[in-house]
Amino acid sequence: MPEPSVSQPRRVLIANRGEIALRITRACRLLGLHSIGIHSEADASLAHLRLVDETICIGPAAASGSYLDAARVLRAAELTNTDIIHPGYGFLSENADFAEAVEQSGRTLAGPTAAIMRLMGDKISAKQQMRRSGVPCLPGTDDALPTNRSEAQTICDAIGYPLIVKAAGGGGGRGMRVVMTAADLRDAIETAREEAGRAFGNPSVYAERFLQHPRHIEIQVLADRQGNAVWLGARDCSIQRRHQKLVEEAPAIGIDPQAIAELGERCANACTLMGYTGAGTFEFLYEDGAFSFIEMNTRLQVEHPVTEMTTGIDIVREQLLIAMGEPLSFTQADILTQGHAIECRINAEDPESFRPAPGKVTHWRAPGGPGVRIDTHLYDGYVVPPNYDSLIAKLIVHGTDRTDALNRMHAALSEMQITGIATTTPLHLRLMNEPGVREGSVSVHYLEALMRKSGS
Amino acid sequence: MTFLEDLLNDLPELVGRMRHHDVRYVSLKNETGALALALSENPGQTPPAHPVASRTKAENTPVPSPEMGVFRSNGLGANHSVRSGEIVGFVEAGPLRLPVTATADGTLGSALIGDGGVVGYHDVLFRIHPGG
Repeated sequence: MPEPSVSQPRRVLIANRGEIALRITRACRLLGLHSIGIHSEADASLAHLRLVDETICIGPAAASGSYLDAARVLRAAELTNTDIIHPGYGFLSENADFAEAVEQSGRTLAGPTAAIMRLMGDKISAKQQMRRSGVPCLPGTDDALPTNRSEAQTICDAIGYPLIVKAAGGGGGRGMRVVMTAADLRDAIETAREEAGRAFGNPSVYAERFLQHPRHIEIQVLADRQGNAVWLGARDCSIQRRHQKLVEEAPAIGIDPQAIAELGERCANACTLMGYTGAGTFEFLYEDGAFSFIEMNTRLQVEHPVTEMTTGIDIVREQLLIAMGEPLSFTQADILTQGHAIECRINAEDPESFRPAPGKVTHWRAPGGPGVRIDTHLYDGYVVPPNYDSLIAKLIVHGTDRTDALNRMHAALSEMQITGIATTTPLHLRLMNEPGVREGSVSVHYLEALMRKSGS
Repeated sequence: MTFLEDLLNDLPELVGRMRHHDVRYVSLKNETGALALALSENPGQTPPAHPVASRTKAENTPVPSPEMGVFRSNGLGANHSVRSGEIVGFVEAGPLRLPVTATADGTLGSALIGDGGVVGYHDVLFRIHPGG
């Protein structure tokens, strides 16, 4: 694979914190790039700041005044003479206005263009684009539902019930209503519109068929600036709570590999057609042998390591090379997946109530052994601040097959020690022994049903 | 106490600081009130040499940067005697030039960053030693 030449952009600003900032720092060091770490006032002791070439405090602890403040991040980029900004995930990573401001400043965002972010950030235009590219979508409206009630009713009756009304500009469950019968439609549309307007400043909603027991399957893609695009296998992220993933794995078991390969090809082709660049993920619901597009994440995903473990491709390194203008150095035929990988998100949360549990980590011991990887910014004495997301570590294992990976994960979770704060580790340990998880192919409702059953 | 009453009580100190730093116009406002203050070039009386300020004594008090930006020295050398609130430098944050003010009475230490150097939000720019 190519190494950067002297004339290429070399100064990378890491516009994030925690484990992903450390992950990006490592990729910069691997490529010999000059790395710049930004941080809030609460984050001066983050692990990656000891490894980067330059650091700068950009604002107060509140994310709104630091990591989410596009003007401050851009000013930091200007002050440090940055060429490339890597946004990681969350914060500004899918903010099209920020991407546009980066472009206008003459810098490069490690990701797609602002225009592509806008196209795929709007659920309606994204779905239209997917239909044009031959990516399967749920039966539903191709445009926003009309404000005329009887017209909306006619359209929804044609889709069939149950259906779901969703905000065009939304996500995270807001502006979303499940409609089981035609009688419930009018109230659902009105409340979804009202919520969408308040939450996203865009009251447009659309409707599509509601699947009752789907799995969450996603396809990782990489696309360069020369028009080449590849897919790197599928992930199963069905173990989630309130739309937050807790366990992810690759490959997705119990699905015909040929069907996944056909879907992957369509995703890669969609990237080429729209001019996508960088890493991205196409998310699907899978039920009764059919895939249905939900949305595209135009950024790096938290769960990217399971794909890295099964393909041997360093996705963050590839993101940086693409941002530097390098073509992909491999083709689809070069990509082989091997074994099975699982990731557990270790959050600083009560394992039963899921309430955030910030505080001082008095003792941290990482697990080890063959096939065990830990992506974390933890160290003895680190204080988890209350201001940000509660993800503190990602424990990833790679085994010869799924059973081997589950066994390795259980052993690694048992070996890992985090004291001083509550974490989700006990829940993960329990999950690795649950019959449903051992068997595999659970739906997105599995974990919440399990928690209800056990009274949590 | 209202915003205006607060301001009126602080007026002598505010005017003193404006004279000391050659600031001719100040505009302040919040939800409850607004004040615009313009000083004539030939004041009727000479303002005090130093602004009226509560004197704080502290051990090696840090002077933080008000913002992320570029530090601009105003020429104050080490061992300069300063009063709390006195401007000891500036930070350019985009189009803004923000004052760096002494956080205590005392003797100013050497600047910890050179003129034109990049500084982060609340980075320590000076330390003030007691006994000035």
